[in-house]
Amino acid sequence: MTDSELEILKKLFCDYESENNGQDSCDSFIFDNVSYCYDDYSDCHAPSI
Amino acid sequence: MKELPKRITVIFEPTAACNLRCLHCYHADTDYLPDIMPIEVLDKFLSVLKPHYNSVNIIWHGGEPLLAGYDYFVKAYDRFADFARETGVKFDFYIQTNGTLLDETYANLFETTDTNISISYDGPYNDVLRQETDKVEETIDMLQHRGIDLRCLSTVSASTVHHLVKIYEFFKSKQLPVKFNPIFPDGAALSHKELAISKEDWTDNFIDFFDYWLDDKACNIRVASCMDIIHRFFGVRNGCLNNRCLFRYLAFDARGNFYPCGRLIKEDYRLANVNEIDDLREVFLSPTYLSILDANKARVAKCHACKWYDKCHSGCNATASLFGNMANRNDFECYFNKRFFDHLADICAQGKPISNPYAKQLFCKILNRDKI
Ligand code: SF4
Repeated sequence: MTDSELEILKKLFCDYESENNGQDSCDSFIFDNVSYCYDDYSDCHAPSI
Repeated sequence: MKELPKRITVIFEPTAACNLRCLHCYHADTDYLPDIMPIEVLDKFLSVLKPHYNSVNIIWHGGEPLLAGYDYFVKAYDRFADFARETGVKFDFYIQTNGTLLDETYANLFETTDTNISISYDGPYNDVLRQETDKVEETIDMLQHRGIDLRCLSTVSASTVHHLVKIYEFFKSKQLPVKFNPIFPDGAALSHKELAISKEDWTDNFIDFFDYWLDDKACNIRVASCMDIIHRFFGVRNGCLNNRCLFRYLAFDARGNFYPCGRLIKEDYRLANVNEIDDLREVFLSPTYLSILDANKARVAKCHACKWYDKCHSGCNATASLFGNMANRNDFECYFNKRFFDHLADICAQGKPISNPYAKQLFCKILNRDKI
């Protein structure tokens, strides 16, 4: 990936994030002995809907 | 400028083959191709990861992933472990399986590799959509007997949507955490219209069930569907929900093709083949991905005026696409979210007591309180 492609990618990501106010840190917590992370599928492997 | 994510989740499909043919299978369009991912394709996948990601979730999926065979998995886990040692990348493993092939040997492997197991199992109504119920239940008993923490993904159809409480009580009696998913119109489900659930039916029944769950002092299992919606209501965006998947999730098939999501493993959504790229992030610049971003933007723009936008964020991209067009709101999900968020807002406004210990703990965690 060239530097200019990387810049384009960063810009696309920033646009998406500013629209969606995302969070990309893995803020995890333990619940019922299971470690949850807001950035993974946590308890199961499919969206609820 | 915000940094690109260093963490990615890959729905990893070592084969599209399946030994069951569930009536609702969204994979039916892939023709259950019997190819097994060559280990060289997995090696190439690892080579395009570095050095851009430091944390990777691998979700073994299919088809039925275990049809790739035990030796395949041993080899694959060795490759991941070697790569992790060389690069410091952290892998977390999950598997979604129908449970029919999961024996003690696989259980040992998944235990040593810390792989989280989820079984597709519909409890007392397993025979409605699936087969080999005895075999699946034997697997669940074996895993529970060994003390392995597992969870179930239970699909709800028009024949079972009125029995959510009964299904929940069944999973409670087995101490099996569960997540409910309504059937969605794709693959084999398209030929079984009688199984489809209307948005009203799903929403009415799920709200009734949620209220029952919230009141249930005796709850002894995690019910991810309820926890997910509480998270959403309080604006905590977890996993791939709420339009949070882009740049953070990909699916990878046995032939080395990347797709935006496990539900969108379709030619129209093919982003690139692993042999066409040197850096995984190139898939996000592929023409298909750019058109997904455009469609996403168009859908979000239509939702801005909605009072629940900060909780729903215009919903799931795959659901929007499967029910029509990614650039448009998905009516099923939109209807459900609006009604559900209204309902939760009422519960909070009335200060309704919450008896369920899991719900209590979750509310306290999210609201940062000692008790509720
Ligand atoms: S509830 Fe409907 S209108 Fe509101 S943000 Fe979600 S999809 Fe858009």
